[in-house]
Amino acid sequence: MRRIPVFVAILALLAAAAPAARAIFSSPIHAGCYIAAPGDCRIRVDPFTVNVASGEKLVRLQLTAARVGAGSSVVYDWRPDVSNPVPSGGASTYAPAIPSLDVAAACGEAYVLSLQGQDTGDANLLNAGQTEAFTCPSAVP
Amino acid sequence: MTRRARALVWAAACASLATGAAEAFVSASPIAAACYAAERGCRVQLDPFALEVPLGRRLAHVSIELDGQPVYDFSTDASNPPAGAYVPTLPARGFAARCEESYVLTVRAQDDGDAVASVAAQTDAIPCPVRVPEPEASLAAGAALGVLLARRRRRTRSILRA
Repeated sequence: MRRIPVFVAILALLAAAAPAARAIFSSPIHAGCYIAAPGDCRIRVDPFTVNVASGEKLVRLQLTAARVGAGSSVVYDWRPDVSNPVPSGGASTYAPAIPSLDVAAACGEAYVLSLQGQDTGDANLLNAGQTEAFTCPSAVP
Repeated sequence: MTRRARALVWAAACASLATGAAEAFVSASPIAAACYAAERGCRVQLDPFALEVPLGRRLAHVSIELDGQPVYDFSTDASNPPAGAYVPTLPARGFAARCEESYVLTVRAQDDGDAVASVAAQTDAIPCPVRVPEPEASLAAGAALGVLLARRRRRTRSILRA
């Protein structure tokens, strides 16, 4: 009779000690940098989808461009409707719109682009995907 | 293609299969590109194309060059790089180029088994057109000149009357 409460207590301890399941995922993140005009370089990201756990809603998405050997900065910050967050209608996947004219970057610099996301089940932003380094062209050929 | 050429291609293919010496590289569908005059110089627009990654390999890197100089450098996801067929997204307005120049566009690709990127596709020389003068600026300059001339005429008339 005494063994059952001890077993339940051990299970409760294990559940508390286990790390929270990661709730947000994304399709692979592929990106590159091109020269659009003299001194005007831009980072282009392939369309991607974000997947949240069943019943959860998206809270925030960020694309961060980390300049290799230097600091990083948020280049895209996305928020959903406060009253009706997505995904809606029981869906668990959402495809955010990507800027058609892309994201500004510094010519001649190398970047790593990463996606961070948070849903209603996450305490904070989580890294969902990241590219390898790519280099912006330095000049118009 | 002549019968002799076909026979040579088949012979080469059979020989490479037999020896297993043929190195597998990323291949591309045929590419096509154009150069056009834009608001700030010229731009080279590349039609959408597909890359085919050899079986068992993953795409690592793609670059697009104009006359050997990079205009687009593209990296894939570090954890989940694409395998098989992949269609890279391209800039909506193309790459910067110099008007009245001619460019050979090259697509280079590298998979996780390649030491360096290899040429996947290439165009013939693409001539860029003459730079078009900016219409807004020239119209504004013309309008400003017209206003100035009209003012001068009025002044000279008023001076003559006085």
